[in-house]
Amino acid sequence: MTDTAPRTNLDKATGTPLLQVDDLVTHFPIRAGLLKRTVGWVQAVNGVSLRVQPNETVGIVGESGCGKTTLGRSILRLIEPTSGKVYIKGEEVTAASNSRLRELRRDMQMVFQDPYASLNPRMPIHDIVSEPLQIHGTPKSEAREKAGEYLAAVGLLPEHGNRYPHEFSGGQRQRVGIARALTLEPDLIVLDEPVSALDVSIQAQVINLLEDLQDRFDLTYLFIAHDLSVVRHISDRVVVMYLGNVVEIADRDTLYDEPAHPYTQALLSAIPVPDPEIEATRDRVVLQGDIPSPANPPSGCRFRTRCPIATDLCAEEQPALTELKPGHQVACHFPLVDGAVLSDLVK
Amino acid sequence: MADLTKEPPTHDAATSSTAVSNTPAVAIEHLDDTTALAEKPQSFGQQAWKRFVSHRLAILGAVILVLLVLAFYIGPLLRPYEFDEINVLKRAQGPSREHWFGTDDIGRDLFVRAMRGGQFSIRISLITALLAALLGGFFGAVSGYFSGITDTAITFVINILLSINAIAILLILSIKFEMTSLVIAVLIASLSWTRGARVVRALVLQFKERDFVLAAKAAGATAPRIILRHLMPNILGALLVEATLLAGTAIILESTLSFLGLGVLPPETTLGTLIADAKGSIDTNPARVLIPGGIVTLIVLAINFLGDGLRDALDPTQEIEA
Amino acid sequence: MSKRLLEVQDLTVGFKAKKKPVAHAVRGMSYGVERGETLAIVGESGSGKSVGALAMLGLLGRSAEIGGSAMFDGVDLLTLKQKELRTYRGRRIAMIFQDPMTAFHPAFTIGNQIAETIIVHGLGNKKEAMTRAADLLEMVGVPEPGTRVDQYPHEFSGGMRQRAMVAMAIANKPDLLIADEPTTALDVTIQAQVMEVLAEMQREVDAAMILITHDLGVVANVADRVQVMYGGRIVERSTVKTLFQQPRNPYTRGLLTSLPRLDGSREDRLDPIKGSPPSILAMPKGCAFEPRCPFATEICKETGAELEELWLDHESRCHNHAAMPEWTDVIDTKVAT
Repeated sequence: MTDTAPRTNLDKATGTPLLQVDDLVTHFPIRAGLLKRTVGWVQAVNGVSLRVQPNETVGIVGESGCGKTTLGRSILRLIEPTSGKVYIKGEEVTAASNSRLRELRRDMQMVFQDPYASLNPRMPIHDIVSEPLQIHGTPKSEAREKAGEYLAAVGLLPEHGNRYPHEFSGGQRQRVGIARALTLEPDLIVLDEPVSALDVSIQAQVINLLEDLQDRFDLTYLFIAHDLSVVRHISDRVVVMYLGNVVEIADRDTLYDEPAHPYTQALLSAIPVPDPEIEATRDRVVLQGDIPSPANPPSGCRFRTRCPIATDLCAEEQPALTELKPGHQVACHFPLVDGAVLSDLVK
Repeated sequence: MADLTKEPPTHDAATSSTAVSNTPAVAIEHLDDTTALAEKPQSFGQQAWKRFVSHRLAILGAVILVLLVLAFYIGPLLRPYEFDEINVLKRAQGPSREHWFGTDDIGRDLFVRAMRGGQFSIRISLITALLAALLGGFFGAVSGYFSGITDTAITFVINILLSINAIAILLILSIKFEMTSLVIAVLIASLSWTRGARVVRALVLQFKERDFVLAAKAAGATAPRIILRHLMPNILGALLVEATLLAGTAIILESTLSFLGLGVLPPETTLGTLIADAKGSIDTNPARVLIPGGIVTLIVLAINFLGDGLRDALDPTQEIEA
Repeated sequence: MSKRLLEVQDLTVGFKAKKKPVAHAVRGMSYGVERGETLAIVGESGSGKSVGALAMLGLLGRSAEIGGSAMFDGVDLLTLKQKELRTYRGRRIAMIFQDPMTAFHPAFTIGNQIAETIIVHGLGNKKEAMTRAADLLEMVGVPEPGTRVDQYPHEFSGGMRQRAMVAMAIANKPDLLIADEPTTALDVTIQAQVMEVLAEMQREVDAAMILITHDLGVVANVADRVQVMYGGRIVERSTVKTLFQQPRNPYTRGLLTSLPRLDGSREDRLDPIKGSPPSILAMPKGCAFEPRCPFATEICKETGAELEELWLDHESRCHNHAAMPEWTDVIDTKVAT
């Protein structure tokens, strides 16, 4: 099953994607009993494949239980995947030895969601930011100097480096986390809900900052979020996930203009738009029921329990990710093509 | 790859990255609410000291301990008597100008003996606390961080040790070993490190899932680095509290041992031995029991206060109470 | 009747901690709510939006210093003792909290907890209350309400718990519902469900609603009128349509332009408000928004403006509102880039 997404950055002539994920699976065992036997599995990521080209921003969206956070962490091997392969710049991450993995980490870094939990409360921020360099052998004073430059790059004053995280606001702490991710000069940064925990007015600042940094430092982003408006703003391509599977991949405009998967349409329609006239007139599809548990997913298509157009086929056979047109793939037996709108079908 | 030397960073908001054109209004934002950071920065040591001295009980504890230690070591020099100097003519006297705390049944000066006993008790409590903290910290961290078989094995040992009656084992062991302060300390430590280990293990389990630990892993940090630089500093506070509790328990355990006659050999003395020796005189000369007992209480209290203060001092998120 | 259901005058809330300056969370809030209408209170963290509501119901601790008045159907809630307030809470004024995880007691069944609010107000005995609890669960769309009523909170999903909270809130047919960020902790598709249920139930019992939120999309969907808060004060108030089409306060405009929108133009750079919100421990002397305001002038540093009525049903607190460009021009410029 290959992902033949078109290259979105025409400058890069190489054929190798920066990041390649092949059939990644991450299941967590559920243990019970005195002897801690495995009684089940939480199927967090259930066979995800994608390719990310250099300088792209790929957005990954989905709700609770879709596996997007686990996907991000599995790609970086912060959580060990159960099976599947990950390649960065052509080299296999999943097969790397511990020492080789440490080296590969210079190419891929992560920015975390919670500005309060992602910084060690006992470390001053110039140590937090310079630690990656120190780990890879840079002497302390030199590392701190470099850290100062990155703090400036994210809009903080280097002379505040000897302060502790609790002295900063949420937005500032998030910038510290971003500076930390930059110090090893990685090619790929996985951003796991980087603005969700911030106030609205601060979110915009940080989003602008991320865009500036991407241009300035030649970065490639894997942007994990649940907020589709933010994802639309920043992404080149978007991957929609539901309960561990990819249900749709498309470039940004296609996804928002011609969503083909019922879940994508429902997701888009569920988002309230800050415009009372639009809100009053648009047709919304409100999905019924709850998101199933990834420990006990429905048979066949995992979305079928909430899908307004599901049939028996959907319960029997899980749909594969198939290409509708170049760059647009859907996993659905009845994709909504040619302008079909879910809200019409539901009435 | 980025070349930072291309664009020397300035603090002027308007001239941020030249690679991207943007209106000055959305140039990279600098820290605007400098109210929070207005005070002059201080080093961690300075901040810690400030926090410590604002903790009144901790200062009291420290002062008491210092005075006690001075008393224990300098006190005997002020009196002309040795701790093992027997003078049967002067036996069983109450406190007087000659003998500040009185004499025991064979005429030894109780003040000097109490001071010497105090030296012993302090030594034991400190060494025990240190050893137990090191052992507990190490095993707790390893057990919590590595999980799996290591964790199961260590937890098993801990549970067994916890269910043992410390006094009983100490009694048995004391028959075999010569009871110097070091030996007693090691024995007590080897039985009481488990409480600290449990506390550390629970905290490690909690902290190792935190994002900042994952961030360190993402940067390539090895397990020892994560444990020492990320987990332990956050756990140190709790471990310190455990250590102070242990110091107190150690003195009391040792006193109990001595009271039962299985501590140090005479004429060497500890506060516990003194209490034991005074058993018979409770009715006639209660001071003989109360004085060494009171000193033990004072030591344990002071250590506890001090421990509280140290724990708060080392926590950068604690506010300095003006 | 012409008298409003709730009339809040000059509400102030401060928190006093030892050896610290007073934290001014709410600095003079006046507003009213009519029967049956939905008023949205919008603000970010630190704006004081939640504190105001909690103060009215006596849910703040003893360290809170509350001033002003809150007339509810003729009675000033702020003068009531806890004992008297309890007759209002859950009966005439009901509150829906943000976090469905912690709003329910983990050791009692959902049915039990809903029934309790009925029993405590003398509106039924145990049996009647439990039956009504099951009925309420059905009304809010919880599947298998007969079984669910005997389940514990941890057996409910987040969305269902929130529905149960709505059920509990409307159990005694309150006159006023206060919903404090009711959907923030939920997934998007569940948010839509819960907002639908909430609006439906509000209609069902004919209650007024105060909806406290930071999400302007939710406001556009559900509210009749909206007031925007910043630094403990109301900075703009109008009907929902007016606020989105003709905002007349720099903060409101800043909020609107900093949002990435599903319906917005794609290539825009976001227009964030620079800087950060003020700390409630150190409110500036003049306008709280001045350090971040693109329209600020000298007078703004000295004194904050009053909440001024610009025209019918539209108030704004700004010295320089007349100097702001037409909103339609601002939008057009953005689209053109």
